[in-house]
Amino acid sequence: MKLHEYQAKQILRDFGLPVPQGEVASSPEGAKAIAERLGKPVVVKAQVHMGGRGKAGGIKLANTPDEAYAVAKEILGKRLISPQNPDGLIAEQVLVEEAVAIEKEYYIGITVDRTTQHNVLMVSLQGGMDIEEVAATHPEAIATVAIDPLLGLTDYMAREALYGAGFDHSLIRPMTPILQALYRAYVACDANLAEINPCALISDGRIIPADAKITIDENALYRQKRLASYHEESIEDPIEAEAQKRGIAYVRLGGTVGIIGNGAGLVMCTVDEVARAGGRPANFLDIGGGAKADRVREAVEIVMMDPSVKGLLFNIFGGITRGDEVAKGILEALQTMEVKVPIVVRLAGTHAEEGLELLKGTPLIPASTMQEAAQKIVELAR
Amino acid sequence: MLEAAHAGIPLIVLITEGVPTVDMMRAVQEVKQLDEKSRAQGGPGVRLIGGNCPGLVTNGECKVGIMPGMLFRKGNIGLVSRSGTLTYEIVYALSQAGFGQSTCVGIGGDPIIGTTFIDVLPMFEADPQTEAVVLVGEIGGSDEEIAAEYIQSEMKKPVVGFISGRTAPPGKRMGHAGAIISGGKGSAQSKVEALTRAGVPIADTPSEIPDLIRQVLSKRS
Repeated sequence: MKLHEYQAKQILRDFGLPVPQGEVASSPEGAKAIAERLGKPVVVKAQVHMGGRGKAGGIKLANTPDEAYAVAKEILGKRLISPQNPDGLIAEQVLVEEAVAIEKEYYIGITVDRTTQHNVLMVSLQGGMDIEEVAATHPEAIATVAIDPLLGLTDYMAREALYGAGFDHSLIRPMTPILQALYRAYVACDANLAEINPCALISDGRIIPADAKITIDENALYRQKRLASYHEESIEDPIEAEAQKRGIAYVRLGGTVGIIGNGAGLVMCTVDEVARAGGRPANFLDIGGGAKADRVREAVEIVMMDPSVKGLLFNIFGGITRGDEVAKGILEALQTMEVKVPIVVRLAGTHAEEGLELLKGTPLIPASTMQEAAQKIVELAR
Repeated sequence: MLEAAHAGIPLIVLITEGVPTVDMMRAVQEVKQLDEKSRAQGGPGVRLIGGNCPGLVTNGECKVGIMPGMLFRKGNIGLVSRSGTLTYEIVYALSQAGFGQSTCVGIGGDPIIGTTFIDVLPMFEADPQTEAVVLVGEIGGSDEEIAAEYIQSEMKKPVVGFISGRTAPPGKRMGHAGAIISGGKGSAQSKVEALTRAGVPIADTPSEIPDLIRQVLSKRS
């Protein structure tokens, strides 16, 4: 789950970092009121989950409250388009924050490194840029240190990273507590990414987080009550938001063939198979292991919320999931809602035969392999 | 899980899905230390498989976990996979084609797991009951790329592969917490290329796997 900049900055503030003063507004009037309260020049920043916000026109300077009103009016509701987000996103909120005079920009970040199975600290003097670009073009400009989960981020690890990236001696002392606070925030909110980019040296000599990006591990949301309330807000697609509410793993893919299966690997593979058969997958939906009939019914409801779905494919290979339960769920769904599109069902594994028996005499079209099922549904969904 | 590890249980299968990454990181680190300690004292070590995995089956000997036993046939194909149900699909295809399996290991779909491909591949290389290996990967991380390097430099037995998520969009978590293409890393294409370079034939669909196995085995004999 991606947090907005203002949410990430609130967390950093809670962990003692000198975040610039600011508040979030959803109207030009609100932006003006915040600028008045701050009583100084402000930056107005679109709160959207995308890279390249500045270039897309989502970040503007305002010297007076009236200017803040004008730029907020311009940013709010406008579709912001960047190379990273060619479809663009619409900002519903802006962060209005005191403007600071930046002299130097650094990069600091912490993320999960799957290969070493540790969290890693990354620092670079080349702040303000997309770190992935820096990593691709100047990998030597980024210093990386693995953080021992049992030790935490010690002073010496922070020093190793900072010296490694070529930070001046005078910056080691002020930067170390910033890195450590970032790590404490990262661990406390179960993040899998926390970035301050740029981490800015400003004209009065302080080092502050000018921008912040935090991504939360969704597996840990159950124990992050405060962050869980941000979750629905973080999902832009309304069907994905509804699926999330019901605890169903659903990803919208934009095509016409609805796909439901059990197990992430099998569903991903089914999505690939539909594409290979010449179809355009509408979604990924995993009912998980051991799903009962009502879960299957809910899955059908979710997929059918997408009006572009022209056909529905079930691919179930039962281990702890029972084929007869799935069949019951599909039939229940058909009783409670009107499904006009063709449905192809492939059942294999545990209790598959009983399931297929239940589906006899219904309009559902059986298929014996994943390939056959994909070909059939692609044909029917044309 | 940690209780079992501290009690000296040498093999722990963690089926649980949805464990926070930070917790897994600590647990894996702890298990690693216990493993080293046990081995240093001449013990059997401690191995964690998973989380978010279906467990493992050695045909005719034992099953730990939740794999549906009726699909398996005894034979000499080893299988290691990041996915549960996709494993069943492939085991079923192998059994139908007359290729039984020696051992099948589901290593799990989370970003941090106790046992990775390169932990299992050497065991298959050393296992006299295994003649060829099927590696089933998916998008996210770089374990398949690392496995490709290992296969190229260390393995004599033939390996065939399958990668799911070829059409998955970047930035979206496809069910498994580990199945996400992020920061330009973890695409299916990169994995397929790495494995192909290492001489591992890659199936476009699971049903092609038995044919690939037939080919690599006939080349060998």
